[in-house]
Amino acid sequence: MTLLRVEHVEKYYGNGGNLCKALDDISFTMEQGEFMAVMGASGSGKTTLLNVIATIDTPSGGDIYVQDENVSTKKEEALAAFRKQQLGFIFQDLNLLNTLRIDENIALPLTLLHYDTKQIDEKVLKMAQRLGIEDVLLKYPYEVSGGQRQRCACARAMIHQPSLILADEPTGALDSHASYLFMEQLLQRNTEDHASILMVTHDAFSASYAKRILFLKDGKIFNELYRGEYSRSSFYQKILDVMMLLGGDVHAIR
Amino acid sequence: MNVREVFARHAFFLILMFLWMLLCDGVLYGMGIAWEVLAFLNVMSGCMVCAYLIKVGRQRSKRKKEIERIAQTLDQKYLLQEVLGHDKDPQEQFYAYLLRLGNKSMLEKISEVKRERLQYQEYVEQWVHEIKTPIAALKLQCENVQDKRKRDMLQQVERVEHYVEQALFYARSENVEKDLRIQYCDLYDCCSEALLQCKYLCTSAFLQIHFAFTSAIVATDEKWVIFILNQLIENAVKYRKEKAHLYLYITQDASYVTLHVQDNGAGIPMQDQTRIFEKGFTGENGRKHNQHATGIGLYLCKRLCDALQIEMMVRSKEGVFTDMQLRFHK
Amino acid sequence: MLYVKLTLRNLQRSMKEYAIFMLTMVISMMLMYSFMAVAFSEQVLQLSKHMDAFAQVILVVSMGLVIVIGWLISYIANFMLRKRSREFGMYLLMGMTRKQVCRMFLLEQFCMGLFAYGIGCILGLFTFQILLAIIQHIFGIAYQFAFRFSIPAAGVTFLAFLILYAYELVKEYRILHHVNIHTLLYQDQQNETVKKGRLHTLMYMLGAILCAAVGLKLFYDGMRNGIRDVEETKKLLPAVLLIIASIYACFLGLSGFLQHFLDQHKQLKYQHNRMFLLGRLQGRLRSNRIVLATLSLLTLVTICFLCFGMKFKETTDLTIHSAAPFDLQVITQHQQYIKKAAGFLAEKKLTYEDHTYQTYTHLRDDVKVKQTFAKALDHTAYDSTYYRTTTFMRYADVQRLLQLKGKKVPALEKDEYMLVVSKKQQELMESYCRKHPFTINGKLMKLRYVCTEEILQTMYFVVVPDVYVQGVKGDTFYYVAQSAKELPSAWEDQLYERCSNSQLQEYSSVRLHSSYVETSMFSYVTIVFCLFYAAFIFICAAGTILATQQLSDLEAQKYEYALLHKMGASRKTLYRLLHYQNLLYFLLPLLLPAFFMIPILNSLDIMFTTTDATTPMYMYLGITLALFFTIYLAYYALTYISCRRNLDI
Repeated sequence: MTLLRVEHVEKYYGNGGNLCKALDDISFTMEQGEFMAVMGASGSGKTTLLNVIATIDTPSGGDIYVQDENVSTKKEEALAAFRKQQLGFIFQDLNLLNTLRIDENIALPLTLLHYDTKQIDEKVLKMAQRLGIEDVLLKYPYEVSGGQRQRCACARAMIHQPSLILADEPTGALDSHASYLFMEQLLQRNTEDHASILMVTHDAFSASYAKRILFLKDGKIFNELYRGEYSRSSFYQKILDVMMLLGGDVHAIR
Repeated sequence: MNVREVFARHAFFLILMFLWMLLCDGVLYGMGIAWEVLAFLNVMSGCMVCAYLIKVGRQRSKRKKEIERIAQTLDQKYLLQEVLGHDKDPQEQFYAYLLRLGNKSMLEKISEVKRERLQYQEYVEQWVHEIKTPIAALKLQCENVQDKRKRDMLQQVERVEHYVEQALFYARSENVEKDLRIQYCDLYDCCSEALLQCKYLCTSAFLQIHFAFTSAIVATDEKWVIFILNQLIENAVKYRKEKAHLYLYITQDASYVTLHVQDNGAGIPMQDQTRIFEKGFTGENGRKHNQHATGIGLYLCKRLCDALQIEMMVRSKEGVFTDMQLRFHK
Repeated sequence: MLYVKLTLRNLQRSMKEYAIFMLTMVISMMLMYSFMAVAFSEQVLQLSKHMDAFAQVILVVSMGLVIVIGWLISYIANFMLRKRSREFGMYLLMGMTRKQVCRMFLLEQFCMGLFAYGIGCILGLFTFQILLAIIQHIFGIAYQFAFRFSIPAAGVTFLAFLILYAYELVKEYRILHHVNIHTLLYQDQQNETVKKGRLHTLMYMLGAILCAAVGLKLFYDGMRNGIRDVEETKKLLPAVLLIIASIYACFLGLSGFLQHFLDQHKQLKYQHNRMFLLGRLQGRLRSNRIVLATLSLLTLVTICFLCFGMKFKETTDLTIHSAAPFDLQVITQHQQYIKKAAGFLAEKKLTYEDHTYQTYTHLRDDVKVKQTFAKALDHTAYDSTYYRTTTFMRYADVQRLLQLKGKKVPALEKDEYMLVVSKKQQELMESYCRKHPFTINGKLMKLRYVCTEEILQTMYFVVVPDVYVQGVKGDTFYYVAQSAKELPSAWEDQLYERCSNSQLQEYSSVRLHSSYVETSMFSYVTIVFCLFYAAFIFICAAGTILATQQLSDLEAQKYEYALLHKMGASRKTLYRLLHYQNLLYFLLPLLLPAFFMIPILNSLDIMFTTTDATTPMYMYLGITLALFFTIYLAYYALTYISCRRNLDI
């Protein structure tokens, strides 16, 4: 059973009288335990794709299957339950609730799921230890560094063991060192815990950690890269090459 | 407008409330409260209820107008649900949900059909690509033939090539825009190339070509223009009279350059002149002169001209001449 | 032109955003106008010769309320300033001078106030009519609708408004002048760094409990013993201060306490969706401690006021009944004045019935009496020398008095006696009389009947058959008259003149029922009205501040709820969370008053022990709370609706 199946998804956006086509016939599949990245320039539709998979938005046409459940036609309550159980989110910024401490933030998905309260603390501690943030558990988000915040967001996204983790530019607000630390952590989570991760990014460095990359341009899948046996540095080079191609205009000008 | 509807819908409730207020008034008056106070309270409560209903009605009517306006100005009306925006009214939300379901399935159906057609087009393109090899081989073989049959064979091969090209262009005609490359080119060269491609056709018909100009530069896609000219020349050959002449000349004015392809052939009857660009229209001539008329040729040319923003016009007198005009913007 | 346009646009936006604040301002101005109008209105002043005192009291109370409203306005203005600091920073950055920015902001505030003033005055016209109706009803006059716009009232209200705003504007002006651009622009990125260690929290909470206990005890003592010993009332002030201190200390330590408590009992925290709620609550507690404490205090004061007012109403009603049971009563030690009073009434040519009598401190000398009535009131609140003398009355007098009031009384045999007591003392006296025999000439007197009718007894009269007081010289002379029509209160002074002689230092107590009613009504109206007026304004202020604080960080709220929605909370859950969040926050200032209410009310009750009001004050709590919550919940509902509309999920 494939984890994620996206079939001929189209998405139009508009307000007032003008429409724009954000996604144009996107289809792909993703297996359990894969670490996939989606790259593209801004406006290429990658955030829209993430939103549509995360059921925050509904596609105009096409279907999305997560664990063989069609999520594009569900109603609101079913979607909420689905998101609670099956999905985990990491955003670029503004991930955490400022009124809660770090450990409470991490425990949030478990409380939403009405998890057994006696075991929550243990789980939180274990998760924090894995991500290396157990010493800031009692602090508030505004008291810790950006990298620690993102790792907390990562912990929160994984603590309820969702089928799919969605990350939207997770390293966007971090400096290079923090980015490096964070991506190492994410990779570890993928290899050790077999977490399936779908990451949207425009940064080639972050993308190079993934095993498979989809390139979007103007709402269509432009190219696909598999890491295979490449080392990370050569994979990084390949990514840069494709991005150069993405940037240039292949079609003739009128 | 909607205000009245809202009031009508709540009429029953309003009447009940009015009766209840009267009852309370009676009781309170009996208890000794002055009628002015009661009147004041009644008026105030009445005003408040009315104000609320009016506000609700106005809101609804505003929203309705807005939705209508959006629906009117929207080009692709099957995407209405994406543009509507989110409303608090649960009833509207429900209908928006239904709309979305309906339009989604419609959109998926359309996309499916589009995909199939694309596949078919790709197949044709591939077929054309493949068939060019045997045709080229045939041509070579014909070159080797020494006798009189060579010219006939080459003419037929030319016709095959022409129809293959037509098939390709027809398959591509949906998305002509994708294949255009506008450049400055000389119409003289285009005409020469077109004539070259129909060489055998023309010579076998003993068509006499008259070039009345030497050079005319316009901005257009060379390949397509050649194709169009090919088609026109072929038509001239098809519907020729005994002594066939073909005149190629230019007329200009301030904003346009017009290329005339005039023959002295069978001409087009008056009633058919407006219909020759219709798909599958063979008309009188198609029955009299050319049993194999498909009616596609001029239709395709018209479509291409529309895409290239070339105006195509016909001037003809039955039995005397036909002048096909291509008007280019300067 | 740009500034005018900007100011107008800002004004529109502010009025919409702070609609609840505008509502409260309108209500305050409305109440102020109507009370001023009442104070200045001729109709009201005519009702009683004391009513000009009423006007003065209202003025004083209004001034006091101006302070409260002023605090509210300054808090909200400060709040607005803080929220829009980025906007002002932007103006300064773009090159506007500080003076221009200040002027824009102050003009906007002033316009808001002016708008509230205008609408308040217009609405005040109606509330004035309602108040007038109520007052006239209390005084027993039929209500007439007379539409009049009171210019002095509007003027004074305007003055109050100016004072309010002048103070606040000056303050804001000063702030804007000295703050720098960087602070303005990055204000929202400055974070709370308050952290309370365990020790701190413990200290605060313990301190709060200690202060509360001591304060309440002192208050109770002060009240109880204050009746006997004026010195004791000195304890009241420190008691009040201690209670206030305990409220503040409690709120200072509450957030830390909550946190530590939840850390110990994590299970409580993790259940349902409480974590989110508690987190927000803690955040609020941390940042708004002082304001919440002040609101708590206001709430406590409000509830006390309301209960007090209601109790006072009951007291007044009963007192009138007991203190002036007859239309005219004259009490004197000098017999001649009785005749003068009787003569006065005879002159006026009215239909009336009267009676003259006296009370005796002892029975006939030749009768051996053994009685211990004097000790009856020992060990009660009335344990004092004043009540130790027993007063005897003749049966015939009592019969006549009761006849004046239209009541009958059974006849007394020679060995029977009667007791006339106030209702409050009935049980006590009855049981005492049963236990302690009253013997005359060795024969036991039977207690035939206990009469609780009000006929001017202070505590009790012992009524004996006429024969036992024949020939005894009375100590106090009474003259009572019951007239068909109400006697004009102006006669009281005249009667008093006639029945007293200042040169000889001989005075009588003259009381006209109508005049007494007027006086009590006056004090009743004054006190109760002012209490309710103040209470109302307090509740509105409290509601406004809570509402505004909740509505202050709507964006943060939106983002937090959007995050929860993304993480999978259904819409129903989110609405419920919003509901609880608002509810908890609104109920927070009511925590401490809930503790303090009953002890304090009990203590205040002691003030009324000497009156006939028997209902303990906390019985009025029900109605008080109902009134309180009606207004409070209106604010809550408004807040909830605004928040929900803002969520937009």
